[in-house]
Amino acid sequence: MRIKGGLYTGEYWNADVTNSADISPSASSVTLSAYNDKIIVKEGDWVSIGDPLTKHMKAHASVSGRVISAKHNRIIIENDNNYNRSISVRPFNKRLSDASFDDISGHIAKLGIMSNGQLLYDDILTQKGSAKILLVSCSDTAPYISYEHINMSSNSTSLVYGAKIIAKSLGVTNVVFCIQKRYKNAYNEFILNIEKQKNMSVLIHSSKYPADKNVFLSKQFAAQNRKLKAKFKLDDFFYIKGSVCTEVFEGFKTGCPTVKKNIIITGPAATNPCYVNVPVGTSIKEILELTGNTISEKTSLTLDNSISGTAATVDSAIGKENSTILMSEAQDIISNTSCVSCISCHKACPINLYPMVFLEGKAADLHKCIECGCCSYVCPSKIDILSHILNLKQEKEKNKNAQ
Amino acid sequence: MHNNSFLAIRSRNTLASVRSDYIIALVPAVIWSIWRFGLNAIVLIALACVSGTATDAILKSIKLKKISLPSVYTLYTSLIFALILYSETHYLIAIIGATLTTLFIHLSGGEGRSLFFAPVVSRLFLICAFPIQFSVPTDLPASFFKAGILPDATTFDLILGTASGCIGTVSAMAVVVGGIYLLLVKHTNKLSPLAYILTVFLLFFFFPIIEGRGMESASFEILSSEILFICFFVLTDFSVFSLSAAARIAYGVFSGLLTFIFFRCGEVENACFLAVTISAAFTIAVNKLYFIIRYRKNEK
Repeated sequence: MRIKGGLYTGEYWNADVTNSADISPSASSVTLSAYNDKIIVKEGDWVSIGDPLTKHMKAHASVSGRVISAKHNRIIIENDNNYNRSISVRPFNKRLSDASFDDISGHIAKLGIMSNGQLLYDDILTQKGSAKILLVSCSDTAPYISYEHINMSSNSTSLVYGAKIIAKSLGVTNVVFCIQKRYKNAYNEFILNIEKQKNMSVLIHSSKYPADKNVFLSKQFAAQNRKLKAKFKLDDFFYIKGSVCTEVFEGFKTGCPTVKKNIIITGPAATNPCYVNVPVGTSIKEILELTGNTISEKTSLTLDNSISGTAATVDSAIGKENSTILMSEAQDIISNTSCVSCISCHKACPINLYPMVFLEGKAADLHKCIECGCCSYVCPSKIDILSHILNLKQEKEKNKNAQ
Repeated sequence: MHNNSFLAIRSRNTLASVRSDYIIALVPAVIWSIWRFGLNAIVLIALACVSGTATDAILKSIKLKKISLPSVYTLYTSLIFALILYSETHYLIAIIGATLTTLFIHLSGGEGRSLFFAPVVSRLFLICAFPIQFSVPTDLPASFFKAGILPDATTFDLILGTASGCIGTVSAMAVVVGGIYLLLVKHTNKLSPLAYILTVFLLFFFFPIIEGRGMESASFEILSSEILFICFFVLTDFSVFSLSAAARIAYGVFSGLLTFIFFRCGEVENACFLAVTISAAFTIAVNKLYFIIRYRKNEK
């Protein structure tokens, strides 16, 4: 199966400048995260593709085979390459217009789709009734493309229908697709199609900094809709990535939970940038070997995006929420890591916080931080401010639980 | 837990690149000082830069227990120190001053940690300790003006830099060109300098030294003393950026007020520097209060 992919090479996504990789969509074994859910399988069990592995459907078998290990929040399955599909996999059998909230949300729960670091089902339950606008982000972290771009061009129908399903589950009528300004011309056709749809619109937004998050998008939407004289609050918006909408649609169409992911391999150290479709839980080592990407001692791997992504090793496995393997050369960090109070981080912060204060351990405004990573990006002292913030949040959470 | 320590995608700005912009902004002043004052200026600048950076390298090597290079910030502060000396100043003052500047930076915790600008503090200390070696010129335009006499130097002389003064601050034009460059690269804090210049201008305008010549008093004061230099290179130090907007304005206003008072009541050659140093102490207190109040409110 030939799949095309590539590196972002200019102002517009150029589909001709691609590298392709022939990849057999199998893995010798997969390592799946149980997302702290109760594991319901044990060592020696035989599972089929789509079988739930945890109590609340957070993990599903992405390959058929025997369970080798099921402990410490991880399930390892040895692939038998039989592609046996679970009998529980059934497509959604109702028309969207006739389906109730319970029908739709029940199916979303069965699919175990992750969004914003948690189950989409949980997210929908929290914001049902309060959300008024669905913001679908088709943006990515510059300068490297993510799957969001490919999604817009090759899966535009799935993207739109997936958004409709989520909107219906939330009880929301307005759907807004957010596209970065510099890609506007490349996706003219997609934009025109959206604008023909009822209750759907496109928000073309500028992106001064690499990462975009829901608060930033919400503010942009509110700023561009002042004419409506409506006062938007953060709770009015439900934020979702375009790739999650596509997953929802595919899940409703086939009934199969997310067992395969489209992963982009990109970055300055990628010898063969491409995108591949692999079972969830495939190790990065296997993916890189199969795609012909070589790594050296200096290569650093990051999952997802360059700012708030996760550092990975070759033994790390692709999770449900991952979409990019970013290969870069590990830079030597400059030895001066003390803050010089230049407040570049404050100027970069979309929430107007003072991130340098968090370096001193003060946590008063911490809950407002959206973890976009802009402060880490701009810091001239190259301090990893985001890591400090995440550690501080964890500590605060631990102290709260202890009380 | 996320671990971002391998993230390689960062902004191209580093501390060295930002500080290099400040050094580039000083180039017009350096060129003019060499053209106007010749060998003396070259020697003072070279001695200050070498001794300042050497001290930094030595202190860092002791601290880190390995051979370390000096930082660009030390070069910048040593250059600033040299530029606020007079052409006849003894060469030893340049060496001692730059060394003291670097020592002060290290003692206060490093770059951007202290609101007291190290070169200014060193200068004040040395001019009190070694007044003769400092060789303050007797024909400073500001001295004449303070005595109520119109100096020989015209406004054009002050703008160009043909009058008497510190080697780096004598040419208002050179300082302003550097300041414009800093504005273009967006490294400046605009609040404090604006507040400072406005306060000085208004005070000298409404309370002129020579009766009935408010405009002349105000413009002369701004052009003849180190006010412009302080605006672009002292009030824009990183440590000032950490202040709240209110504190930055207070810093500028209080500096302006003290400059006016010291000029009227004290020695003209120290007025601006003393004013800025004392108002720094006041501003630190204001800023600390602001953050205490802000974070106490949020914690509630």
